[in-house]
Amino acid sequence: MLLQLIISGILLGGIYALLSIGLSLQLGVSKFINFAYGDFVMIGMYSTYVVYLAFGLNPYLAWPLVILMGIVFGLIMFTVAKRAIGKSPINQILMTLGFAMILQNVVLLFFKSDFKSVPSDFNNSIKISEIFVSGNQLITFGLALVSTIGFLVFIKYSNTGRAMRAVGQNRNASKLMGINVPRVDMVVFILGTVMAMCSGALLMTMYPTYPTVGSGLSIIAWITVILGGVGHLQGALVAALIIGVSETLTGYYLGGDVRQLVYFVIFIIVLIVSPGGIFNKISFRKVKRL
Amino acid sequence: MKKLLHSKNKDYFLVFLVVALLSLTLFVDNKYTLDIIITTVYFCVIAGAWNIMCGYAGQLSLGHVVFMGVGQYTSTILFVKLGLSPWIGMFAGTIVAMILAFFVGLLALRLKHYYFALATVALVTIFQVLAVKFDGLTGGAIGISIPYEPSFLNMVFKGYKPSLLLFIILLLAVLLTTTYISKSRLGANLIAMREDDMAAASLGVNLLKNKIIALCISAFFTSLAGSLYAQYTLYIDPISAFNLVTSEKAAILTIVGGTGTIFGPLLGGLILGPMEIFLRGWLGSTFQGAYLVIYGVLLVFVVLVMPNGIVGAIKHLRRKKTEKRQEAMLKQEVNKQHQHKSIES
Repeated sequence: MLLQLIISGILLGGIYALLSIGLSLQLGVSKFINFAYGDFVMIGMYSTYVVYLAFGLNPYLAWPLVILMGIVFGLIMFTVAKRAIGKSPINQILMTLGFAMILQNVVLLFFKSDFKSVPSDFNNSIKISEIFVSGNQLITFGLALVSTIGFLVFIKYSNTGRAMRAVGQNRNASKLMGINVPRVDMVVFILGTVMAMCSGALLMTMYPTYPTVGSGLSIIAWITVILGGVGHLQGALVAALIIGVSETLTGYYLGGDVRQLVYFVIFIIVLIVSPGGIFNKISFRKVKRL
Repeated sequence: MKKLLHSKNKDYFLVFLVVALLSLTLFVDNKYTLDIIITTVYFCVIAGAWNIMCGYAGQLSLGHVVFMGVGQYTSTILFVKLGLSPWIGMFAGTIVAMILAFFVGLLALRLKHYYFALATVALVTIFQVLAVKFDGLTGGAIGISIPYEPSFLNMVFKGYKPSLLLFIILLLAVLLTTTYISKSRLGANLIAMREDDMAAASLGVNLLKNKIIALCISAFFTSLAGSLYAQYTLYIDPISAFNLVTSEKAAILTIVGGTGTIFGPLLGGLILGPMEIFLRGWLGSTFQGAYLVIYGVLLVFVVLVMPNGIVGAIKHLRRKKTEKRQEAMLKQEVNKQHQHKSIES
C-alpha cells in the first residue's frame, strides 16, 4: 500500500511540476510576480473545453490550438503587464490580483459556475504487479519530465536561453551588453502563459474545471516554485514530487481534509527557515541558477 | 474654523467632522439603506485597519481576514457555548487575534514582499481547514448561528441603528488611531521603513519590533470589526470568516483611496462599498461577479496610473497648482523688472 501511495504521489507531483514551469520562468527571468498564474491555467482549461465543444478534439490533440490561443492571450496580457515589469513588487502583486479577479469573473459570466469536463480516452488504470497507475497521470508525468528537460536544454544552449539567463541575473548589465530586455520579457511572459495553458489542457484530462479553480492551482504552483528555489527548474521538479508524495501520504493516513494543510505547513516552515528554497541550504554544490 | 483647518491638529478636526457627517445617517429610517450604510462603514473599518499595517509599513498582507475570523470565532464561541457577553468576548477575541498577530509577525515579517504575501495567503487556507476540522468547537463547515435574543447585554438589537452606532464609534477609533500614529514616532519609523528599510535600520529603527506593533494594532481593530459584524449578521461559517476575497477587498479599498493616508481607506470604502452592494443587487442574477470585475479593473488601473490612489492624486494636483501659482508670480516679478528696465532706458 505504501508503495502504491508513493507512486501515485510521484505522479501527482508530475502534474505540479508541469504547473510550476511557466511561473518559475516568469519569476526567475523577468522577476515578474504573477499571482494570476493559476487563472492563466484556468483559461487554458476552458480553452480546451471550448476546442472540445467546437471540434470534438480530445485534450491531447487540442494542444496546437491551445498553444496558439496561449500566444494570443499572452500577448494581450503582456500589453498591460509590461508596464509593471521591473517596477515595485507590491504593484505587480496587486496588478496580477486584479487580473485574477477579472479573469475569474468574466469566465463566470460566460460559462456559469458549474463544473465542466472533457472525456478522455486514457482514463483506464494500468496494473503493474499490485500497483495501479492511471494512464492520464502517467502521460502527464512523462510530459512534465520531457518539458522540464527541454526547457533546461533550451535555456542552456540556445541564444534566447542565454539572453534569458543574463536578464535573470542582472537586468541592467544585460541591457548594457546589448540584449533587448523588453523582447526577452515578452518572450518569457508568452512562454510562461503558453506553459500555463498547456498544463491546463493536460489537467483537463483528469479534473473538471470551474471559474475559481485557478486560486488553488496558483497557490500550488507558487509553493512548488518557492520550495524549489526561485529560478531553479530542477529544484521545482523535486519540490513538486515532495509535495505530491506528502499530499497523498497525509491524505491516506490523516484524512482527506488535512491534505492541503501539510504542504502549507511545509511551505511556511521552509519560508521561515530558508526562503531561498530547500536546496539553498542542503546542497553541497549550489544548484545552477537558471 | 479657518484657523482650525490650518492648525497642527487639522487632521483630528477633519476626522471628527467626517464622523459627525457620517453619524447623520443615524436619522435614516429605511432598513435597506441602513444595511447598506452599515456594510459600507464595516468595509471602511477593515480597510482602515489594513492601512495601519500595510499602508504605513508597506508590507502587503493578504491574510488580515485571519484576525477577523479568529476574533469572530472567539467572541461567538464564548457567547454561544459559555454565555459570556459579547462585550467581553469581543475583547477576548482581540487578545487572541493580537497573540496570533504577534507570532505571525515574529515569524513572517522577516520575509520581504511576495514571500510575506504568500505566507499570509497560506495562513488563510490553514485557518479555513482548521475551522472545518475542529467541528466540535467551531461547528465545522455548517458554522454557528447566534440566537436572536435582543438585549443590550447580548449585543443583539432589534433595530439596525445601535449596530450602526457601534460601527461608527469603531470607525472613529480607527481614524483617530491612524491620525495619532501618523504623527507619532511609530508612524515616522514605519514610513521610513516603507521607503527604504536598509536606511531606516542603519538609523537605529528596530524593523521587526515596529512592524509587529503595527500588525498588532491592525489585528486589534480587524478582530473588533469582525466580532461586531458577527453580532450584526448573527451567523459565522469558515468560508465567510476566512475568505481571501475579504482581505483582498480591504486592500483594494485602501489602494483605490490611497495607501498610507488617513482618509484614503475611508474614501475608498465610501465610494466602492455602496457600488458593490448596488451592483450585487442589480446584476446579482445575471452577472454575479460584476463588482469583482470592476474591482479588478480598478486595481489594475490604479496601480498602473495613479499608484497613490485618489488622495495621492488630489495631493499631486494641489502641489501642481501651487507650483503653477508660484511660477506665475515669478513670471510677473520678472516682467515687472523688465518693464522697469525699459522705462529707465
